[in-house]
Amino acid sequence: MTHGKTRDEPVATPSRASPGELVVTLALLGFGVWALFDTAGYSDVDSVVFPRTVGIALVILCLLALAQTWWHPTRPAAPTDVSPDATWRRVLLVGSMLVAVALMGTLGFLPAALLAFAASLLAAMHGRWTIGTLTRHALAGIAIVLGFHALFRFGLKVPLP
Amino acid sequence: MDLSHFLGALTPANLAFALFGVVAGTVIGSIPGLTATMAVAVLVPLTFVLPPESALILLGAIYTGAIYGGAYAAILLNTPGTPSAIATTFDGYPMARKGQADLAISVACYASVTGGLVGALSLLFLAPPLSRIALAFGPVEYFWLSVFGLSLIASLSSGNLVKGLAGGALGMLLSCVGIAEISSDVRLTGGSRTLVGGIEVVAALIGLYCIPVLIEMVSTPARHLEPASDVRGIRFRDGALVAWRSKLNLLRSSVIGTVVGILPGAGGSVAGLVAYSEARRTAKPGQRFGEGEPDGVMATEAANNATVGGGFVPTLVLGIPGTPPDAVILGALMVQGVRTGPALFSQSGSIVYTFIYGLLIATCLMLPVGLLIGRYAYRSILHFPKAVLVPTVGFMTIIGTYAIRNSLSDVAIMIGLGTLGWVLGRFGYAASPIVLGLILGPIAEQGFVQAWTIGAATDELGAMFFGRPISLAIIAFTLLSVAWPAVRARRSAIRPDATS
Repeated sequence: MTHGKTRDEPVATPSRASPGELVVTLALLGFGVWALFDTAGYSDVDSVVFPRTVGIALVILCLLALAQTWWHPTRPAAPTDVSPDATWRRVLLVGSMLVAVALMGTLGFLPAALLAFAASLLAAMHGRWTIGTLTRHALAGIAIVLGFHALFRFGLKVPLP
Repeated sequence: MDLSHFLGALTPANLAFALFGVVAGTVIGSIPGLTATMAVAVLVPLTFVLPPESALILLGAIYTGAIYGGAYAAILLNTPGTPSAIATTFDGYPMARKGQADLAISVACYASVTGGLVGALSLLFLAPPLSRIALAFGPVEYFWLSVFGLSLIASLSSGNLVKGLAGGALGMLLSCVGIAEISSDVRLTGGSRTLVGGIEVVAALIGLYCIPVLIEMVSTPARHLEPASDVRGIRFRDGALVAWRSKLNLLRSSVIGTVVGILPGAGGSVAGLVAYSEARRTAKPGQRFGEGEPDGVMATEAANNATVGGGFVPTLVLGIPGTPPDAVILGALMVQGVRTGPALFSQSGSIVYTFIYGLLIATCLMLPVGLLIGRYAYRSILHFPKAVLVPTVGFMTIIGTYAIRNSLSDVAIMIGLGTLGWVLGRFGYAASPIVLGLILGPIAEQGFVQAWTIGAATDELGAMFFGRPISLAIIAFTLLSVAWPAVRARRSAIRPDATS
């Protein structure tokens, strides 16, 4: 990846084929094949040409990538400074954002956003919790959410749920 | 065009509108999800009570400020604040990771001002002849232009071209999701009603760029950005020095931005990508694009701000908006009773020339405003506790994405695509080719299908695709762009002293 190198970005180090890489490439291959089947149901030939051409290209490229993975495997370099509990933190971050979106329709934007903010705060906090940090971060969170809510709802007239 | 128009733009009221517009545009543009179009649209009602010149100056200043503001989030968070800043992430964020965010912001500011000035001066002196370029571009030229943009995948593939191309193909397929623009077929939705509206490009790029950064940020206790050993904050002189050393890149990118801006529908993102591609092709030995090269930031930012002036050329001369914000401004002009068209410069010269001078002044004001806001943004991100920064950016991505089409589905798609992008990135499928495919896919499809239909109807399919001079020039540039790295490597292998 040439832009924004992140810590556990793939770096070409020879190894045996990574199962994760195979699964990801197979999933992309599956998407390409499914896209080809999907184009069979279109009524207008103009809507077929582009996705079918690109679908065929994706299938061929995935087959090439599979061959490359099999015969010249590379494996991402082991991340050096990833926290041991990184997995639950990642799941909590993404999960809380998705749950907030699901709840926005029923709970309303503000309560759902505050819940997501609190969960993301928990996921991102690596230091020790003290009364001081808890108070400061909670107050900052409430101020940020309320501030942006006011900006979008009243300033930019966005009809938030 | 005379001195009275220039003095008209310099009235205290017009100066205040220009300053307010630049500040408001920069702040709005820096928030992921809030595009220049939205910044202009939100503030259009303010202009209804203003004289036409002042209204135009305000809208032009908001527009140019928003395009520049998009660079902040691109540099500091790897998230383009506006689609125009996509290519700014390629080198801007790596610069920030190396402790050079302050330099990247200064370089972006100088480049944006230069690009903005070149675009506005082109509008001032060359508007009528330049508008002919817009008319010379047909569907096939748009198709080849998008192919030229896609050729950038070769250099964004992190050493694995096959995976880069697969990512580009995935992006192009994702751009097909929803109701086809050319016919009414519902494509690649899998029966999901959520996907019928298609994948919103801005939502997709917020997800693909920002969510992986957030996931990485929670994974490690390390700081988000490491400050340089001596935090200077603004780096006014360093930025100027870098810009001066790369003046050719700056000028070339500004011209590219102006020309691409003239093409209706192309916009700042395409201009930035084309300019980045050219800067990369003509890189000096030792320049490492994609790893924090200031010239990459400069090329993109000069080009995307030059589209502002360029976009006004067809808007004012032909009544055809060059970019989406131009369409909003065109609407505001109609409300003001100003009729755009070839006679505009002679019939409403006072309004038009005062506006163009106002745009030039607003662009100049962007230098102090941009550097000051940039310094504040940099220091805020640097000193913000990471535990609060992550939820704040996460919240901004949600509310910003929702605001694009007032749709919670877009937010869910943004988060889903972001997570997918993170997984793909771990196994060598970079986000940039996917985004490139998403942006250029619709332009390529529409251009290809229309050109094919016209070519087939006139029985001149070959001549349609390969017989038009502009198409041939773009094809030549594309081939040159793809082959140049190999040619240069071969030349330096033959003459190793040339690269030392």
